[in-house]
Amino acid sequence: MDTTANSDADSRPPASRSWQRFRRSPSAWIGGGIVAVFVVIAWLAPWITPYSIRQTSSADRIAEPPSREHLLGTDQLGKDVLTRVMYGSRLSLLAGVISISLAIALGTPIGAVAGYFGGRVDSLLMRGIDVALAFPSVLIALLVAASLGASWWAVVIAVGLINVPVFARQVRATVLTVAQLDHVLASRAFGATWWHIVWRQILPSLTSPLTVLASLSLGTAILEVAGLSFLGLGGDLTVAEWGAMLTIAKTYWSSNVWLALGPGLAISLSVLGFNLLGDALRDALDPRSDASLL
Amino acid sequence: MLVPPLPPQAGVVLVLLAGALLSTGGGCGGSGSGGGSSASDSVLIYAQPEDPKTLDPINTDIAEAVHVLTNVFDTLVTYDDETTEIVPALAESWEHSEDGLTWTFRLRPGVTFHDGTPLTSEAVKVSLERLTQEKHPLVFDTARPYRSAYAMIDQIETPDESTVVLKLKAPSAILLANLAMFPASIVSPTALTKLGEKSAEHPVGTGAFKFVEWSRDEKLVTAAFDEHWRGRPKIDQLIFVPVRENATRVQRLSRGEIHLADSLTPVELDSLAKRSELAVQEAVGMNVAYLAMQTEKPPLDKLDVRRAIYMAIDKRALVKLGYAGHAQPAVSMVPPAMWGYSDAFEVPPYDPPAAKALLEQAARQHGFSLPLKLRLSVMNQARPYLPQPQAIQGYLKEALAQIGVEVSIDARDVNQHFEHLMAGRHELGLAGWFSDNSDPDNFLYSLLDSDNISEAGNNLSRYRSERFHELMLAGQKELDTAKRLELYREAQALVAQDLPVVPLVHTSQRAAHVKRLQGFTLHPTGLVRLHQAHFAEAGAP
Repeated sequence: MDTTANSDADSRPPASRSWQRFRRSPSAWIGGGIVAVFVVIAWLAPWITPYSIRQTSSADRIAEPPSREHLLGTDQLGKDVLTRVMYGSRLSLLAGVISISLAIALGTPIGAVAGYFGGRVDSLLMRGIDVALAFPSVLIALLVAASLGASWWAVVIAVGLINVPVFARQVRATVLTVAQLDHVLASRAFGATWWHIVWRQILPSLTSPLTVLASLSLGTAILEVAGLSFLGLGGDLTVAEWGAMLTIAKTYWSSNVWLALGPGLAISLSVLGFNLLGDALRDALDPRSDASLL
Repeated sequence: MLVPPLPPQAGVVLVLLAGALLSTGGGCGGSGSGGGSSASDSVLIYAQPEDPKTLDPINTDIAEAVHVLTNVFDTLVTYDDETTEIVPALAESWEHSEDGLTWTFRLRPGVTFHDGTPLTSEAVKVSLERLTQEKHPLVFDTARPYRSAYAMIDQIETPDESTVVLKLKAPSAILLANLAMFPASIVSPTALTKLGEKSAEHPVGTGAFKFVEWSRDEKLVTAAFDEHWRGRPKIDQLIFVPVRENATRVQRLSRGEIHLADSLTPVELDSLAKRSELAVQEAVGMNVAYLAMQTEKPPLDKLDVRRAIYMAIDKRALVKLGYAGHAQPAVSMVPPAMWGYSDAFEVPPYDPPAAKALLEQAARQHGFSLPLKLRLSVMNQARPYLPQPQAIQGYLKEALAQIGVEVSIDARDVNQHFEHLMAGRHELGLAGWFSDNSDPDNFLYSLLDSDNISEAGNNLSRYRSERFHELMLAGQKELDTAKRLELYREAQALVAQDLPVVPLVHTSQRAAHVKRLQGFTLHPTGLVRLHQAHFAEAGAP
């Protein structure tokens, strides 16, 4: 065969080729780096923040601009903003991960069932998804917050629900394609149950599109969580959460713009990180991008 | 006629106002003060943090509504423009019988309501009976938070058109002060009958400004009442707009789109005071910000627990953190600027380690586990007595964490917040009170007496003390000032013993306005009366 005539890259298994593409992409390095930094900060927050999260308020340092002691200044209670932003990455990452997991957990079965069975089931489920997509996400969030009461969990659940349609559609599209592949048709011909086919043959092929989508959505989810808690749906404004910190910063806008800097930067950077990482993952995992490399 | 015709300039003004509103909405920041100075000189726009919920004087106690009511309605008696001395208003003169049980008020002749109805003794009778009677055909919402303040009135007689006789159940030292309060506003009986339930959205009084229109959450327009007994106000229109965000109020004030704003943060006010086009007024306030502890909810029913909470809070720190120094730590619910104030009693000291020990001991004794989880209900909007609720709630959460109380924050918009507290659904609640009259009864009885425990009562701690109740009733009946003082001293000492509340601070009243605005001064009672307000000639700084 003419495989020997081809480049090394093509002789390796697809996973390895993807990894190579991923490694070569600058956005993978930058995005991955930013995400890694946030994960490390969130993980090690209690040990690496300049001050303790339980720092007592100090009336002598209210809303100070950045200084050597307080790199991002102090907040309305005289607490170090950098410390609170670092702790905020815990809540924000956690909120992103939980809400996206929720979206996957709800969206995957809906998409899989719709894609596999097709026909009426498909139309019914997909029209439902279309209707859900037609609602502005803030409205859904408000409904959730109204029924659960304003809290961090309400925001996380709301963001999860907002993202369900996105995942359901992606899963359905993939299932539609995979269900027509030869090995699946063969299993079906051998009399495999639908459960076996979906569970053992279709779901594994969802891993890469879902990874890409999840990583892209994580950025959006963090932004949405911050946005909703900025609107006051997070309930408690005293917690170290980026959106809540921005809400308070808004009150001090006329006297101290610095307060918004820390949480604002953190949100932008984390969203940028996840988006770059997601882009790089998509480029690496998408078989079609092979063509562009050749 | 339901809607009085607009004055000739009003059309122009409304167009200008709409333009100003649009330009803010679009964020293009057009200057509102630039064009049409002659038209804008006759309109005063007052920005408040919230829109009133109702304009029925008997059914509100929210400052935003009161600010409207005091300009649309008059009362029988009122306060002097600058002091808390009681002066005639709709009643020209009054006298009381030897035994203090019969009060005769002579009404000012020639006063008419905005709808043309003449002011008669019958109108006064209807207005006051809406407060005193359990059931009244012209009461459309029975909440009436101030009802108990008028319980001393037994019967209202109207011997002739211009004479009102109040028969009291017992002599009362607070009758005049309470008649000067906004719930006792005299309402047009014709309008009440005609409008029914709708009268809560369309107030008709005898005040300096007559109600024109109200688009909820947008603007509430009132216009000068030409036939007002003190003469026509100097401005043509007084418009109330709700502007929830502090930052937006500040921006719009500095652009000249609004002329008067309150409930700003101390830091903002300090920076506004430096601007040449703006002025900031500061005056002693008769108010208190306090932490209400729902004494019906265990373990807050235990004195030791309330005492521990009291000892964990450093009021001096609060003055700096929440008020930038423009306040003083409170020991009593009664403000020091008010007659009847006492601090001749012991209050628990600020001592977190001792508080922690006390709470641990209480936990063992009463069998609850630590950390003690408590909900702190707070309001989203700034209040005159709580200009920075977020800073205060942040501090309280942290201060209580030190002694083993884990506080979760339960935030609501201000109207819902107070409904929540009045119904007693909270555990800890951030609250405050602005004097409606200059009498300590207005603080002690209104906020702590068992008469005011109900779905809409202001005893937010649901404090029940027989002795306190006795003292309150005695104080209301006692006509000798020195003896009354003794009663209120004892009552304040009793509160410091039972600790149903933590009085936090007394704030200075502050308001910012454009410098051109004159004839407006902060009143010690917090009333905002704009009858004399006007704009300086163009050209003045």
